[in-house]
Amino acid sequence: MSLQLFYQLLVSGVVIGSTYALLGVSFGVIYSTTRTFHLAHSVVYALAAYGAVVGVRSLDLPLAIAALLGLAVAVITGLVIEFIAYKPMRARDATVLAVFLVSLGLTIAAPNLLEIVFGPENRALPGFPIETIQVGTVTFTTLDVTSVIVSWLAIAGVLAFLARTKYGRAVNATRTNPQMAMAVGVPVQQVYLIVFAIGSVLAGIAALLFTMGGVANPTMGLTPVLIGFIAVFLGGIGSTLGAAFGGLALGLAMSLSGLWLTGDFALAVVFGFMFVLLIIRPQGLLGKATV
Amino acid sequence: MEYWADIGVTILIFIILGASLNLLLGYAGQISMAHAVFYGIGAYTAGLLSLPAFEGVAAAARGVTSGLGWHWVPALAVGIAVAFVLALVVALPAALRVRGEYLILLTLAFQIVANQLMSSLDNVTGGPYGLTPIPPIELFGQVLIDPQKMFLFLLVVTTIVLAIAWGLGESPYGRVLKGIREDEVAVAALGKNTVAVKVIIFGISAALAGAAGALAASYYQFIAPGNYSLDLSIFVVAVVVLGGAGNLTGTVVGAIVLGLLRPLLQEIVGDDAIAWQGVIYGLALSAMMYFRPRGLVPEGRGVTTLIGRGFTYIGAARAMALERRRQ
Repeated sequence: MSLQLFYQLLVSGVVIGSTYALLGVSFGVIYSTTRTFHLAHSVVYALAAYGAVVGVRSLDLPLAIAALLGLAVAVITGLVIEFIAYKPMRARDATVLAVFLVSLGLTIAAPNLLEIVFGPENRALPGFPIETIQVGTVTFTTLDVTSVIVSWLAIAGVLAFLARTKYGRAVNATRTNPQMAMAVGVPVQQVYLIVFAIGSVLAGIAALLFTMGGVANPTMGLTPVLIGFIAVFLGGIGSTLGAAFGGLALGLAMSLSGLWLTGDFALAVVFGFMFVLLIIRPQGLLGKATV
Repeated sequence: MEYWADIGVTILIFIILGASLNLLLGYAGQISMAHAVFYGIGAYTAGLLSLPAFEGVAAAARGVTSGLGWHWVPALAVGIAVAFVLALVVALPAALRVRGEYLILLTLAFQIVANQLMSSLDNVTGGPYGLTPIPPIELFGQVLIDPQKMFLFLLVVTTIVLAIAWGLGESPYGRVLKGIREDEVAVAALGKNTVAVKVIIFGISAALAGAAGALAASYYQFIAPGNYSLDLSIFVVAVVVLGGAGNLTGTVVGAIVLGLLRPLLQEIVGDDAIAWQGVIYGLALSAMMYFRPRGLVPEGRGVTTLIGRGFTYIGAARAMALERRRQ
């Protein structure tokens, strides 16, 4: 094992881990507040990427405007799913399983619809000035730097929002005890819309960062969302910062596993890790024991 | 005729998968997102055991994985057993907890890891290209490659599986399962070992799926990771939920409807059939949970329940007659 390889993998681990942190916070802010197993977050993620791709390739918009379009698509998709699918299910006291099945149906339908509309092929999102930077033996790109900075700024923004604003406190209150929050006059339904909006924007940002360096395709959404959930789980459900560090740890673990394993196994490592974790420490690495 | 028999075979496999998942999802209210993997584990286990045994060098030269050359019956039995045991291992940690999210997550993780391993462990599983040629089933001197023969054979197997599922579901054990679905804590308070019940039903469900996998593999003579993906797991969930959870008649209806969807779409939209199928069953799944959460054939409305009710009446009448005689 060479030290150079280690440094390189460490840097790429931080880069991937930062977007995973974003995904963790994105999924976590929704899950820990609404307790909805929002698998259809994958739809939000994919549509954000496709929104931006359509903006650049079909509408000839500059990348920045197209990115905003992608984020708008993400927020609208997230809110529509909450409003049309989850809210009525919650209103009739549907079980976790029932709500999950609704989400699952959307998760299956959307990528297939994308395939019918846009075709199954990969679509790039050109326009970002990607340049390689070399420090010692380690190389990374301008996009890597951007994505680390943007990810952590967005996470800091969410943390500040939750800690310092009136609505942020309402979110925290609902997260801790929805009944009590309702009793003291917190508009819980509005809080749900807020967290779906925040979570969707973050998922959108992650999707855009990913697509600028890679490609968009119809089934792109599922893996990032599952990774987001594992990050939440690692950090302990309910802790925003925990989800962020969970994601970072996951990115590092995935990247550094490259020292011993081929890339084929990286995803299996992540899920295998979660599998073991669920068995021995179901409240998450940093979480407190509950049930 | 061959064409329709082949579609019939697919539908029968969906019925077996649906009925076995329904025991878990419909009766016990426990979800599995890994049903396709257990179907695959049955296929891989039985396939590896029954593949012809090539000598080491010859196998390497031919570029194929060598098997043990077993007869299909013991291979099937071992395939079922391996699926059963692995399922117990997966289900136990989740069964110890009441909250349903754990089982969703665990089975989802297992589905993805196991499916990935099917293509990564290529010196055992043949990698992404899979294993072939799995020997076909031979029964009473007949070789079951012909769709019509396989259809008849699977019809018998499906009937047996439905009988097993019905027997379990409508028995006292089935009532405990339904009790767990409705209120697990209450059932535990009655002194039932809910953890054991949950783990065992998961094992039985997976074992039946494994049987389907082994039989399907010898019909298609081919095993590859893509056949056991998350998509299939979700598809089976859709079969159960659309038909009506907790109801085997519903599962049969669901499997027939969704099984006919693909060939039908093939006629209408051609190459886009797979994508349209996904759109339709995905949206149907959401819409069904939304508008008709109990499915096309709600629990207690199916043929099986009518028969069950018939037995109950006969039983009650006998008991009354006995009572009268005593007086």
